[in-house]
Amino acid sequence: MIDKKEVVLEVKNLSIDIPVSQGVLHAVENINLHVGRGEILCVVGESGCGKSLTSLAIMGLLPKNAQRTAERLELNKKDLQELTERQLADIRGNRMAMIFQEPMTSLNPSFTIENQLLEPLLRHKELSKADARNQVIEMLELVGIKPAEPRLRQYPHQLSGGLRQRVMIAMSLLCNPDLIIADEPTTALDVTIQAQILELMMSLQEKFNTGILFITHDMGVVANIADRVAVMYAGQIVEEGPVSEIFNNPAHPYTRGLMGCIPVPGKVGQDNHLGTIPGMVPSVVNDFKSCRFGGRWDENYKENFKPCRLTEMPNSRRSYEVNLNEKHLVHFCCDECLHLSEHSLLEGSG
Amino acid sequence: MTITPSLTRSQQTAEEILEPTPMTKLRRRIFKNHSFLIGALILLVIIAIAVLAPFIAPHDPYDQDLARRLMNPFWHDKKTDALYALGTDKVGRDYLSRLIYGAQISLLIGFLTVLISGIIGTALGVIAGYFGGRVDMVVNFIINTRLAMPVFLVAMAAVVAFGASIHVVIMVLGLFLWDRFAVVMRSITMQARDLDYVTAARAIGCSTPYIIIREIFPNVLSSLTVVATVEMANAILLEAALSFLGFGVQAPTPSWGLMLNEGREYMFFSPWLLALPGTGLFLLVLSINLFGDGLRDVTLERER
Amino acid sequence: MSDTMIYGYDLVKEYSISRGMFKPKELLRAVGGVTLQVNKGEVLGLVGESGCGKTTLARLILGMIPPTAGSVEISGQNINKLARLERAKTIQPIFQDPYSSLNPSKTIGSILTLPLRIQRDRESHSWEKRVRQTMDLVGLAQRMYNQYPNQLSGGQRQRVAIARALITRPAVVVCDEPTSALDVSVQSQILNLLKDLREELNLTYVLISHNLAVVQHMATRVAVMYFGHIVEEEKTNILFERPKHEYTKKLLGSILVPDPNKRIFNKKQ
Repeated sequence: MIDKKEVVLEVKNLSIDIPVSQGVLHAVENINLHVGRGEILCVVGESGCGKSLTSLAIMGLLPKNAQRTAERLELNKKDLQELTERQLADIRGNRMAMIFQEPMTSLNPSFTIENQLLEPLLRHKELSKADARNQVIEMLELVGIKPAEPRLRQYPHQLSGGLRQRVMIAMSLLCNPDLIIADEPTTALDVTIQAQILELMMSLQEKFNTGILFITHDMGVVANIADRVAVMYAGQIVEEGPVSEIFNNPAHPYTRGLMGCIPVPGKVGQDNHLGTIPGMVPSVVNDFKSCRFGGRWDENYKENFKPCRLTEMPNSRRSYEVNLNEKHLVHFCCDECLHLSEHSLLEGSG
Repeated sequence: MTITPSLTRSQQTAEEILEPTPMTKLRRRIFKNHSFLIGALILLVIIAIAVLAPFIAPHDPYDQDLARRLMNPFWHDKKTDALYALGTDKVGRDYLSRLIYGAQISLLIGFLTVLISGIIGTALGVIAGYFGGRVDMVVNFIINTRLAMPVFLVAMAAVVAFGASIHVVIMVLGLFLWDRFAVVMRSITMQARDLDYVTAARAIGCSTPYIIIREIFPNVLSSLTVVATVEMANAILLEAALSFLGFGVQAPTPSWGLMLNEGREYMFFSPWLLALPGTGLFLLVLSINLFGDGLRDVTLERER
Repeated sequence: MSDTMIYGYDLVKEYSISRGMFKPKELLRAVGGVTLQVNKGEVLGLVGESGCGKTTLARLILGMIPPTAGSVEISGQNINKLARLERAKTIQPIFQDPYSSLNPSKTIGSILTLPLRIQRDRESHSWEKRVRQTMDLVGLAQRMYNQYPNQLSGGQRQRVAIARALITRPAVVVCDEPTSALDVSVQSQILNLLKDLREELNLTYVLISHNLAVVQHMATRVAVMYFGHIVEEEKTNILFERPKHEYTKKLLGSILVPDPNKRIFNKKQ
């Protein structure tokens, strides 16, 4: 259902290197992503896996010392890498918008809501101030801020966290962008507010047919909103596929481990232990030659593996991309990971 | 593309790449910070000169010899006596020796002033920050009262009342330069008080004095040292200014400020009488400031 | 019925907010009349949105702040009348952020020895042994004894915080969001550890969390707080199956289950 859709964002072989005191940190290594129009792609992973850097790289907002390389980085078939800073600024907030975790820090505390919402409209669209103001009011009402008029004169600190995030969503939608990048937009909110905000985002996304790249660490959020899921681990996407595939047939040991860690009522009884992933995320500094998942195998996965058909992934050292089916891709960083997961791959494809 | 078979898993996990200990990190940052190193070096040299003054000064700084008055320094004409490398002042005292002993006075005043004001300010600030509420209000009132009084005028008044001497200068400066200590310590203590590990210390039964001294104080120590360097430079300059105006250290004590005052009359004929103590002051204050700035950068724990 | 471990009676905590020197003070009621009872060996889950007073209630139970009205009794003794060291041996906290709960300038060994030193424990020769035993208990490697907090991962730090709380063998542990600063894979390790420790040391927990799945997994009883009051309190399975109060229903309706077949939003076609 998704393949037929127009691709809004296409990222191919994106890498981000950051110089640190001990050498070069390969924060993100050769990742591929795409987001279709009207599609929600959730990128999940634990802290430090590179998911936030990926979003900043797409926006062109990486810290100065970070190096971005990509074979392809296209928004609506337009190469973002060739654009000048000025052209990029025209696209940001217009064709693609970003929603951050903490709206208090992304809204300017010394301007009113009206000023901040008018700015992108006046900048990107040729509108009279009155027209722009009407659009702002309309959009605020759409995100559930009713009545909108009195809110226009308020400052960000006068709003609650939920309201601020609504304002951010309104701001990101004002120019009707093709792509919204949302970086943990509901993590700082209470559960009830989180549910409201997510529901709002989904209904608006449907209405405007926007593509959303949604970054989160919360599997509950992913299961509830995603069309497709990309699981990131130590700077790589280890598994990518439709949400039902990822949750029902996880193939990569990391994804499986992650699923086992979450307390799911009914699945894990109170008397049982939660699953764990042993070991720690390796540090990906300099030429990282060993397996990223080394030492993190759950003993259960080492048993009974059988041979399996593989497709080699070119352009990379000893790593494999396995197509379980057309949409479900699993990425292994080394032979051993691959061999050890064969039985789960068979389960998944069978 | 050929695939090399997988090697044995070398487990390069994060556990093996160990973060350095806080002390190692501090040491590394110190050796990367040039302004800190330069400041510390100059400061150490000046301190060494001051401490070793009796051994390195070629003459008694109080020894007058009118026959040798206003001798030129060595670069001025070759006839200069090698024993008086930097010449003599208007009453024939060896200028080099006076400069060396002047460093003693400046540093003494700097250290003692900062010691007194540091104790007062830190005590007030930490108490206000830790207890908050009424205590904080009272301390704030004291700080504001102190800020409303001009140091210089009060210092002059105190000199008039008690007579000018080095003791009066130290007491007045010490009792007046604590405001910045109090303000900074108060705000840092307030932040530190709410840290979880301070609450944890309370929960395991530590007494309030223990928490303030062992858990909070180490946290404020680096800021304390930074404020101390700023105030020390400040105190040294104030002393020089007071002495220059005749309200500070009195003749014949060799204070750089006083030497500037005494050299004033000969500004056009013997400019080194002004330039030398001026340079001394400049170097001392500069090195203290470099040291303080560097210290701040070195101890500033980077946000995670 | 098992014995009562914590008994909080009609607890009220008000803060006065100064709005300036000459204006009258405003009263903020963080906890407005809470009565609760936790029996030995229970895990009481405390849920509610931010600002509902759950952290204030935790600090009242810990005896870190005096209540405006009401009282807290731990094993029949009023916590605010208990001597500092007695209190420390009875009840201990575990905090949310393992990065700020450990003093960065002290080694793990000295952080863990501190409770023993403060208690003026007589057998000082056995301190190190006991610290090392506790490190074993919470799953910390022995080599970490001489390491500093910044050399440890978030999960390891939280283990240190747990070890510090447990070294004096308290009866009650108050966990304030013990895993919300951690990644899910670490969260599961810490939750498993807390479960094991509870059985091994016969602990009673008060568990504060905004993560309802965690509470459902850990707690034997759940209390729902709303604007300073406990609006509903029930055994975990009963509360999650048959919530009575409107707010509880709303809260449970907002849970996002990590299962794409159980979405709570109306999915587009």
